[in-house]
Amino acid sequence: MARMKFLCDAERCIDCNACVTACKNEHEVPWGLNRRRVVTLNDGQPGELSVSMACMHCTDAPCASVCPVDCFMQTADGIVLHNKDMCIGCGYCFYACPFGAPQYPQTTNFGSRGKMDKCTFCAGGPQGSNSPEQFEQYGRDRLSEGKLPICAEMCATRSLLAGDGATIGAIYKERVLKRGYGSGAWGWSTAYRDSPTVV
Amino acid sequence: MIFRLVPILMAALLLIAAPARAIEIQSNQPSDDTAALLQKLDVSRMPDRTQGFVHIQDQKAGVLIQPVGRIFRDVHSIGQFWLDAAFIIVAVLSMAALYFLVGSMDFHRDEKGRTILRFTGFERFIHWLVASCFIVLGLTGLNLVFGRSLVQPWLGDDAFAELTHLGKLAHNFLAFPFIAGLAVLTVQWLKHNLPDRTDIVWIKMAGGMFGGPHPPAKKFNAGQKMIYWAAVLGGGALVVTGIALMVPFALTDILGMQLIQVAHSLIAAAMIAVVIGHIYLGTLGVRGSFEAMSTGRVDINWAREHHPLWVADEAAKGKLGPNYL
Repeated sequence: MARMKFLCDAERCIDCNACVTACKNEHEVPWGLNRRRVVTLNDGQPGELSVSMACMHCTDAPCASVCPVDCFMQTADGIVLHNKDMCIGCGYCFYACPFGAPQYPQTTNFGSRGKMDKCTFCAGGPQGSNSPEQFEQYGRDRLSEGKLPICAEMCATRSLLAGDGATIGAIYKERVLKRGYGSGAWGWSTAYRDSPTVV
Repeated sequence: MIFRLVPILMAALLLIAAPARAIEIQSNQPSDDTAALLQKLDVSRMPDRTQGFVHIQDQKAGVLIQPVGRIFRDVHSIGQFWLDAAFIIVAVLSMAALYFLVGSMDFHRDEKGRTILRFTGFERFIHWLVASCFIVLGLTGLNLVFGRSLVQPWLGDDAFAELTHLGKLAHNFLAFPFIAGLAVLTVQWLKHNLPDRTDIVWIKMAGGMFGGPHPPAKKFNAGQKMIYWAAVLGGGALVVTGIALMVPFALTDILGMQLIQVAHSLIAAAMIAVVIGHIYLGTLGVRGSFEAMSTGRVDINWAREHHPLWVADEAAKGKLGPNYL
């Protein structure tokens, strides 16, 4: 069984934001919500790096642990999904998430944040995405169509990799050894508690 | 057990020491050193916070990685959970011990049924306003901490989620009558709750709870003053932290929000423990005292036993009338 993971090769990311746009378009994510974002470190300085970041679908996910209504589940592929019908919008998952992944339709409206929204690894909701209502809640379920997340498929420089952790870890390791440098798989150790060298 | 404690202690340390350690990124130079390259792949030691530039308006999204979120999880799910539970369990057990080992404090009712006004209707209204809000706030708050383990398994996911959502709304909205009531309560009883010399005697004699004579007291004895100050200070802390939680990130950053969330829960659990003690003493623990908050009038003998200085004061003001002498 595959263990689905994301990996962003920061040496290749050119901050084009195609992944962000593709994600928003594919899932018709409402204005103000960003399931994926590109963060530029040391902007304009030597050693500038850009990293595309979304929910990393952590092993033993902190969001699931702190949720007061236990609305999270992890699929057999390791994808962390949450049930929007159960979510009460308390915001605890945002406090626990190391990657700032959870998004809320309202941010400061008297503590009523609405249903949390985040990257689904293009797998829809806990019950997939088979109806217009589910599409509106979770977006498209590409995985069941045999497709990988749109952000990674769109990535022109093949910086953002999505798929089985063993496979994308091996690709990244090979790249780093071949080109002779690499700044590390950002977020990997925090999310999965191992390193892409362990394949 | 030790292994469970270690992350909590580390978390406490790190939460204190967390503010930004600057991140250093070196320019990449091609290298042939395989071992060094492989080691670099293993970024198991991340800085506490990696912040960069982001094109979207919400600059909070510029935080790329913040591993301390993991620590919040341990503090929240283990530390706060068990401390909250401990506060409440200790309160319930000690009140049960007080009841079964020491027993209630009784008094001899006045044969003529004479009573004295202890709290006016307005005072009682404010008390019950704060009390009823506190009970709903407390139960809905406890539901956020313990509901997942205690209620959800037998209520079912959907019903529990709906209940918790309504509870969250109730928690947010009832906060405001609670704040208003607490403010009035603070003012209306302030002058009777300033500490004075009678309190020292009262505390030394433990209020006569464990036998011995009743120490003299004015309108409020030292124990009641402690309840008052716990309500004012603890309630005040809950108001401040609660409002900060209602307007997320308006007042502080993520570390602040994490700390405030845990603090709100711990202070609330301590307050619930205090209120459990207050409820016991106001009903079963001290017979005759509940009438003060229900009808507002207490038996004259009860008043003379528990608050002789206050009765003398009322008498001096001529509020008692000739029948009482």
